[in-house]
Amino acid sequence: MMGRRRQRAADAVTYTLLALIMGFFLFPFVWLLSTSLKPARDAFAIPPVWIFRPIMDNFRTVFSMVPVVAYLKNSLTIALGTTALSLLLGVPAGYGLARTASRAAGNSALLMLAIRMAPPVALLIPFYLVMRDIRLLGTYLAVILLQSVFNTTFVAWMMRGYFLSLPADLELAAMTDGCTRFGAFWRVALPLAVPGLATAGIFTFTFSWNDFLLPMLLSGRTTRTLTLGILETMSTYEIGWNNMAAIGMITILPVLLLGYILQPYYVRGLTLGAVRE
Amino acid sequence: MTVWRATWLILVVFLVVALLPLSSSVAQPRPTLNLVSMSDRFSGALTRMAPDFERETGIKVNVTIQSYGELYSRAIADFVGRTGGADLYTVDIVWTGEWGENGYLADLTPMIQRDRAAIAYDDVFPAVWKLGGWQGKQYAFPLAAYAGVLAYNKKVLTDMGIKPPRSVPEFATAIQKLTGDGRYGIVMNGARGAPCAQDWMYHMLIQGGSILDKDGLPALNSTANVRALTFFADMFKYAPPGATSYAWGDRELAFRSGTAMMQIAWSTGVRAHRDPAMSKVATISDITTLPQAAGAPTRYPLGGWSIGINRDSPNKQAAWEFIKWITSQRVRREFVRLGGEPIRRSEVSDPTLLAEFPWFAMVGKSFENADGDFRPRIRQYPRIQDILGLEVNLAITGQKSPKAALDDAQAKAMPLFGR
Amino acid sequence: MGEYTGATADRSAAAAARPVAKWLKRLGLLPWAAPALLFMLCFAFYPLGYSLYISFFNYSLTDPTQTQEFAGLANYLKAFADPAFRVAALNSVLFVILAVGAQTVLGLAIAVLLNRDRPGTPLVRTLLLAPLTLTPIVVALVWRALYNADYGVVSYYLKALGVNVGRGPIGEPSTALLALVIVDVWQWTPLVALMLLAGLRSQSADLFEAAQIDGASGWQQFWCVALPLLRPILIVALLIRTMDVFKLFDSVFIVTGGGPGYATEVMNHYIFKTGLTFFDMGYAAAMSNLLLVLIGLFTAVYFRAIGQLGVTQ
Repeated sequence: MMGRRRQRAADAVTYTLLALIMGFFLFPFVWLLSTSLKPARDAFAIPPVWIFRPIMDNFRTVFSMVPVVAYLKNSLTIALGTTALSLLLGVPAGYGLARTASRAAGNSALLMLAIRMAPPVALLIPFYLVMRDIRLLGTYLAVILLQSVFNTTFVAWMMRGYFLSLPADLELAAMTDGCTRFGAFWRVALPLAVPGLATAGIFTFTFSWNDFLLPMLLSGRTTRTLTLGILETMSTYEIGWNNMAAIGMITILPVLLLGYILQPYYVRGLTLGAVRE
Repeated sequence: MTVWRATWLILVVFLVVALLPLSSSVAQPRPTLNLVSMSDRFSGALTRMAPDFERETGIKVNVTIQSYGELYSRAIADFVGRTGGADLYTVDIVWTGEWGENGYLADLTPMIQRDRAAIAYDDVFPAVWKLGGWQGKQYAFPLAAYAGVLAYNKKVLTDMGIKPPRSVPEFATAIQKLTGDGRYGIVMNGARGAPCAQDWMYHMLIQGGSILDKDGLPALNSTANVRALTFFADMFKYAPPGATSYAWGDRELAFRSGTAMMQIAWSTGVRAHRDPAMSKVATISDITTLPQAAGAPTRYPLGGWSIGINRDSPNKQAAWEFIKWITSQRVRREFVRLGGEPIRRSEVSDPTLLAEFPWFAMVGKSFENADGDFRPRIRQYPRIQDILGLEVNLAITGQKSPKAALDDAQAKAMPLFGR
Repeated sequence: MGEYTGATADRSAAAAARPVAKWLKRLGLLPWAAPALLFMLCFAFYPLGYSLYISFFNYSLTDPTQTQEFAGLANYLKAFADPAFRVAALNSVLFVILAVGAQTVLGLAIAVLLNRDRPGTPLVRTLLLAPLTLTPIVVALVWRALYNADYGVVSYYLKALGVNVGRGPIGEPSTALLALVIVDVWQWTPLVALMLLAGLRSQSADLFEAAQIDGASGWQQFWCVALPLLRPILIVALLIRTMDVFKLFDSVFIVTGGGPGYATEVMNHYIFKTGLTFFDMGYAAAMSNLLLVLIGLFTAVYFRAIGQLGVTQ
């Protein structure tokens, strides 16, 4: 009897705390959504208005101000490209580093990490000049290549941790059965690492999608991304909060959707990858 | 296996898509112009009018809109890297000196002299030529000129029997009287950086101060400037409490929402003041020229944008054709209606435009006595603005006295001039 | 250390199955990392090298003569003497301590709350992903609007609760940094929470049963069993967050511009201004290298912690 009562009290406390936490994490979100559906002059009404008749005008305005569809396509191309390239390079690297016990492997991993640590601002101008010299300035590839420099480390470290958590015995068994090293990786290790892949993939995608600094200098007229479009909707003089909110909602939808679809892997992948340093 | 194939497919697709722009950038028989515009109100007008120009001349103009910081960083990278990324740039008035002196822009002077009659040179306000004009040469053509004006809530001022202030003491009295009952007499930008530095410079101008002395050296801690900063800092008592972290957007919002009764602002914001969808003072606000210090010559702030040609543009002739077209008397009316701001006398006296934008008369009056150099258009300006952006902010948040702030600003500014 | 047994077994098996050249064996599977390393060196080597090289020169990109004047260590010495840089460095460290600290405590609390399956917790877990996916620029703009002392929702409700907000959360020098810390905590606590939650989930129940049999209370189980086991994952979370908080830029740039006064000036924002607004390349590069060293120092401390943990396990 006592136990049940204590349990109930504990539940009440837990749910209260969870409600508070959710309130904190969701209310900026709710503000953004509601602002995107309000007429401009009500965005800053005092006291704040939470219940109102939603309108779609802001979305229409944004579509007429900014080439949203083209930017969406550009953001998607760049984010998918970066994700593909980072995974292509980072996953085998992670596997190699996980299955090699030498000092050289440790040093290689650290070298990669050092590049990830570098603040990008000072690297931007030299990046720009390199891209100019290889005639890639303004192309998708320029942005993809440089985002991949930063993201490959992330993928390699994540996958290294993930592969370390998988027992090597299975791969060995496959190899005694006549599989090549690559075959063992491909048929045995990789399928087991799908949660890790999904996690690394969605993070890379999100980083690339949300990046502002690299596309700001390296993208061209035909390759501009949505993050740049967000700032196009507001002049310094008139911050169109409603339009910003509308294009902000458009920007986050694809990532939110992807995150939701991959969620079962995401949480699992996050651990296993991270447990080992 | 499907994962592998999907990855491969994605890779191939993005490679193809990525390389497409490369192949299409090969020279075309008829030039296509790339124009980079600041994301101000006029950029929408440029976008919408570009197709008209193409219909008339066959020259296509691609307009890319960029935010202020992006435009400046990219433009400099483009100029220094000599990449010829864009043929045409919109140029902020304060960039004129740097871009002209460094030769980033093609010199338009010969073309302007040659086509002087066709472009109706004398119709453009003389002061407005400061947009793009530098040391006797014209590096860019005025595109949208802004007048620094006093915007006020006409209804409240009339109801309280207060006349729009003409002098600094009247200004101070009006601000104090208007404050109360949830209303604030004035609103100013107080956020660190360009916002507070630029709003202080309005006050500096009307108090008879200046950034540079007669020899072109900084005179930030002059008596007039200290007086202006003391006044500026004091007036935050009569502004919305959050004003010390306001930038332009916030300041305009405070005015449009009817909480602040007055503000000194660029005339480009007036359309939003009068737009019922954005403003609660749509029918009850007005503008007038700025109050002036007694005894000083009348000087009104001038700002805005010009349009110039990248020195590395391969299409200079076509670019000049576009500049001539977009600034011609013939298309200006349409350009201004769609979001541009006037540069010509004929625009502020055009009955059609005046019917739609009655405040243009006042803007024209301001242009006749305009000072485009109250923010000096020199190479060192961004640095000076940054120094002031910090020191003015320290003064208005009570962390330094106005005198100490400007003394420190002066000490930091001198080395920029090799002193 | 359990990690390396796989690799050792693998090596001996490979040696038994098909003997290859000795050096190849010693390399192990390192060549698998070669493409990635090569790629990164290819594209990062020049910019990093350039940044190191130019930091010894006085070079302004907007100088019409484009002269690069050798300056030795002058740019580095200038940084140490520059009050703005010193404040920025202090603020950055303070920001890291406050933000990463709060994210750890809050993240741990949320992970513990969500660890036990109750109706509704999966939904909460999904919703927690939302802040993570929001573009940092949008996040900064949203919070800027919320913090506005006169129209912002946060200030409005604070005032309704009787709090004197003064010039507003971002207007008061005493609270501005804290206000930005909250933005960072808002966006990134979910990441820490989800990582720790996954870590808790992977701990075997046997351990806790054993502890319970030994008479440990709920709190004792948490402090003595769960938390020590979480330490490696906690340190990874700290490492990722520390690296990124040092590179904080968007919220300062958009919300405060470093003000009021110096209150929210941080290193990456100052470097951005120097490098991409004033185009003072030498000085920006020097400060950026100093920031890299600072991040490296913090990372080294974490690695030490991981190393020690490895021994105790």
